[in-house]
Amino acid sequence: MNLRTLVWREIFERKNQLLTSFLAILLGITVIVSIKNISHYSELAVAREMDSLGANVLVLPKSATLQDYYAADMQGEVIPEEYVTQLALSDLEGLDNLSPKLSLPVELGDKTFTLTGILPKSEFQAKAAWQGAGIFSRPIGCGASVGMMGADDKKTLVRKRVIENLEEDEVLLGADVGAALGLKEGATITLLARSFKVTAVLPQTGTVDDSRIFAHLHTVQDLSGKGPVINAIEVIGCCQEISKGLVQKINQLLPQAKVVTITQIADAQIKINQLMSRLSMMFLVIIVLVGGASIANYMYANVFERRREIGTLMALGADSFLVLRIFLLKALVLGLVGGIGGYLLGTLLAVALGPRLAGVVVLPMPGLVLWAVGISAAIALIASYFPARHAARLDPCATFQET
Amino acid sequence: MRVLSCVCLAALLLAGVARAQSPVVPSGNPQAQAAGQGMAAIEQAAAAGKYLFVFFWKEQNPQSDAMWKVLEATVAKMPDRAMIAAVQATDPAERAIVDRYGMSRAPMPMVLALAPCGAITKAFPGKVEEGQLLAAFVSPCTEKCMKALQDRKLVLLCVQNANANVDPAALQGVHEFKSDQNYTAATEVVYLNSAEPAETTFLHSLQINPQTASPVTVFMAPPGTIVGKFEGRVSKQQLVATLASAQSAGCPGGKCGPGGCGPKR
Repeated sequence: MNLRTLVWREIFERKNQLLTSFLAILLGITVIVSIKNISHYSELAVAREMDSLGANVLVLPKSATLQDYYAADMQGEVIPEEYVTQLALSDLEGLDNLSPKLSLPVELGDKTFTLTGILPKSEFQAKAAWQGAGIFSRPIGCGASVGMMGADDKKTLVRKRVIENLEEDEVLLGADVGAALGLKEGATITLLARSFKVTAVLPQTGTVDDSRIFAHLHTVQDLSGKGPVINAIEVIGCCQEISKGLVQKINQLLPQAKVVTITQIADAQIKINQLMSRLSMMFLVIIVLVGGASIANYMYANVFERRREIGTLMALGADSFLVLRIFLLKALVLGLVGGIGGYLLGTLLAVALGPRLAGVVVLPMPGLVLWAVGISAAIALIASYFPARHAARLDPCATFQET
Repeated sequence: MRVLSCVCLAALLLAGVARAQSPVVPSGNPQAQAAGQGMAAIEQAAAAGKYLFVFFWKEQNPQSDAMWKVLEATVAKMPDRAMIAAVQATDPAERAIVDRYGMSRAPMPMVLALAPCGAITKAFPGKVEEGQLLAAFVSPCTEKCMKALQDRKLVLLCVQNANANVDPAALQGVHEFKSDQNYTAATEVVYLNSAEPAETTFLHSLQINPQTASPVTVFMAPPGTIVGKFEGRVSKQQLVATLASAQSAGCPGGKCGPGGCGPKR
């Protein structure tokens, strides 16, 4: 009987106790992996959004919460679309681009996506030109959103947040929607009993925008039956003007709305990420204490109950080191399987729940497997070391003398 | 109490009728009449070379009453320069003008100031004062520039002093740009004589000295962005490069993006 057989038999000796210890370590690793995975992609999404948008301002209904920037336009509350015209006609400097949005869920191919109505630049930029002759005296650099003829690459929507033109029967698909439905540019889809032509499949962004279908705002308003309303206005503003109080000026212009900068929203998102990181650390401490205590208890009980068998093994010639190795290898197997299982389960949970909890697309992180297995194995080995050492130091004669 | 309410309601209804009837009487053009009184008024004002203040409203309330009164009183002082028209945005007969200016989703009441060339020289949502209405009258060159920009065209404003020596070579790059098939349909060239007193305010807003002897070319893009200003001669290559630079700049001079206004990471 070699070492491997001994370890294998030892593992399945007390199945119920083994299962309890295994579950403790598996669930602990699962929770840590899923939190780490979601918070990593959430942080990435915030960073990417900040890089692509620069300074930004959101105009939301008064009751809107700031928990999630990406889902800010998916809240049930609405504001009138006329706010867009008020902003476009205002003499506020530093409003580079406006992007009003109205979102509603739609079913497509047994899946639920978000249909988001957007207003092409051509439709509100005309109103921005109604500001009178004063518009010419503005300094170059602020409100310098140059729109005119030329190539209209609709894929710039993901970066610039606005597009020049969009017909009322056209849609743009987020990357995940295109991939999930196998749709390409030029295809035709039916949404809420209305037919649309797919004019572009947008590049991957890693945000909830990948799961969106973009259509003309007025079409989405018609489909929603809510009238000329929107969920949010995304304003690309110049930082110089934001620092000079652009947000306060918009607040004065639209007192019935809530006006916030992306800095505030991103800060809120970063705080959530930090909270998740701290939660992750807390779970790590709990798993060390609970998982370690459970394994140590299991091992001690095992050694105590089986001391005569250990004594017999040692009387047959097994040395202390062999006994130590049997128990430590058993702990290592427990740790490895718990770590790998926890990683797989945690990753599955993160991928499934990430878009709902954090509003971001979460992908598996292979690097976390080493981390999960390392933590799990270390806890199992440390918790098992003292019981194993106790077993290795048993005196065979003393064990036989016990009744 | 009920009698008083009835009297008030009747007064409001009568006032509404009065407003609906107070605009200019449309011309005899049947097509314009079919498109509604608002469109007919635009045509009539353009034919008369006058400004038209179009008053859009949805419902009669103290705000719209106050706005209408200011408008009526101001225009009454200058019948030779301006006309007024009232359009109820929910009236199906006025759909043409409402759709043209996107008024169905605009804040109401609203006054649009239209130059004879069709350019909207100012929009006043919610309230207006006499001084603001007077500021809506702009110079002929400003009107031309605004009209082109509102038609989503690029504008090349060529400023030269007709009293000094006009330099035709200074316009060569402008003409080459305008004749390029990539830009010709979307470009408007506007000539401005800096010696013209009516254009002084416009020149000041462009930060150009009306006394300047050297030619200046101002490059504008919709909605009213000055993307470049060139003293002396300008080449087509310079104009193309300036346009490309303006189109690619996300927030020129705004210090946006990482390290700008974003939170520290």
